[in-house]
Amino acid sequence: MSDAQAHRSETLRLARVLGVESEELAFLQDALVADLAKVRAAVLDRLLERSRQEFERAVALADKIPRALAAMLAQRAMGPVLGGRASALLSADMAADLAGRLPAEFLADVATHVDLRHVGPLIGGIPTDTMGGAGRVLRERGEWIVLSAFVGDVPAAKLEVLLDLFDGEALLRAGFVIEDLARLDSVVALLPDHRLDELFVTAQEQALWREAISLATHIGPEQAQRIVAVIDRLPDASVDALLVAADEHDLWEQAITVACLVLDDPDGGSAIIGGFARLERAQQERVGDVLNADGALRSRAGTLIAAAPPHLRTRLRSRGSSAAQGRLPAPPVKR
Amino acid sequence: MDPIDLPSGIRALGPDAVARLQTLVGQAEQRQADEAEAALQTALQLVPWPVRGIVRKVLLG
Repeated sequence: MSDAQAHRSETLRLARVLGVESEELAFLQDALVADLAKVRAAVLDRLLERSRQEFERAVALADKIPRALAAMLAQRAMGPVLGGRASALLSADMAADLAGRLPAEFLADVATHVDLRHVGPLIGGIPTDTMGGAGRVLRERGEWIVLSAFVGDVPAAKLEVLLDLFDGEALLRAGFVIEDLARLDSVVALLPDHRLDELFVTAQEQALWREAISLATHIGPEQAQRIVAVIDRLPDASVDALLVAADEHDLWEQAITVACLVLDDPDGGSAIIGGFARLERAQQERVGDVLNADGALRSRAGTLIAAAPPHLRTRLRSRGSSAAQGRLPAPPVKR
Repeated sequence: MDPIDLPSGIRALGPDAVARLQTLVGQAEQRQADEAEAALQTALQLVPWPVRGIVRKVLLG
């Protein structure tokens, strides 16, 4: 996820906690993402403390009346905002029982308002079918940030089942905005090879290469090898689209990293190097500029440079190419 | 209640930004308090009369 996307995502999370549109938080555009997250946590703490007595009484009531009645009151009296915040005080058993009695649409609403610092440990006890129902609603709504937030709290066995419910678009878009990037590797590990192929087909069909590149650059060596195999199976048109997207979104560093993974594989490489060779001259020179600006990246890109045909190798090695020679600068970052 | 403690990076955005943020937090608190009060009244109306007593006792203390 880019810094700009991380900022947009965190601003949306904070806006939801404050009950405002994210545009109303434009005055925080220069704030660090980490600071926005701290503010969100502080506001959630404050809101919990502000109504702790009422929430505690509501939870106590749920323990004294039939659960079906408690679920009805949660839905019709408390609603998703209060219900989501009060859920921080539920026991795991009660959370699982109530969740199973509530409609998927309401649970999806609640999911956008829970504080996962408190509710996260309760998630594992909720039946997979119940989670799946709410997940489908969130997917239909395009709530990628909410969906991705829950990934870290769903046990692997349940997550494996739930991943089957989501199409390639949902996986790419939710993966792109996931807060805990370290979880991406374990999620990819749960996907069979044909689902990985599906992700890259979706990237081509729906112009989601930015999301696919991001996914490929936040995983460990074992899963990276599986992605390498997928990329090496891509038709030329998809490889070309991947590299053009890298150029459009200023993702050359990530794309070069992925390309080197492919080239380092003894069985791979011809497709990706062909894609670099087919880039327009200005695009190839921008790759050269990126390599020249980052010594560590240039070192890592040794296999790319070595495998390049002579004309490409020259452009990748040339210093101060496009900008210094008065050609068009790199296009603005589109985020 | 007191203003929430903001990170130094947020305070560095200036007094206007801090004031606007604290205002939004205060409004969110008030909105939640109002919604909690409304939820209490709704709950009392929704529950069947045989359990209304216990509901009132638990929710109102």
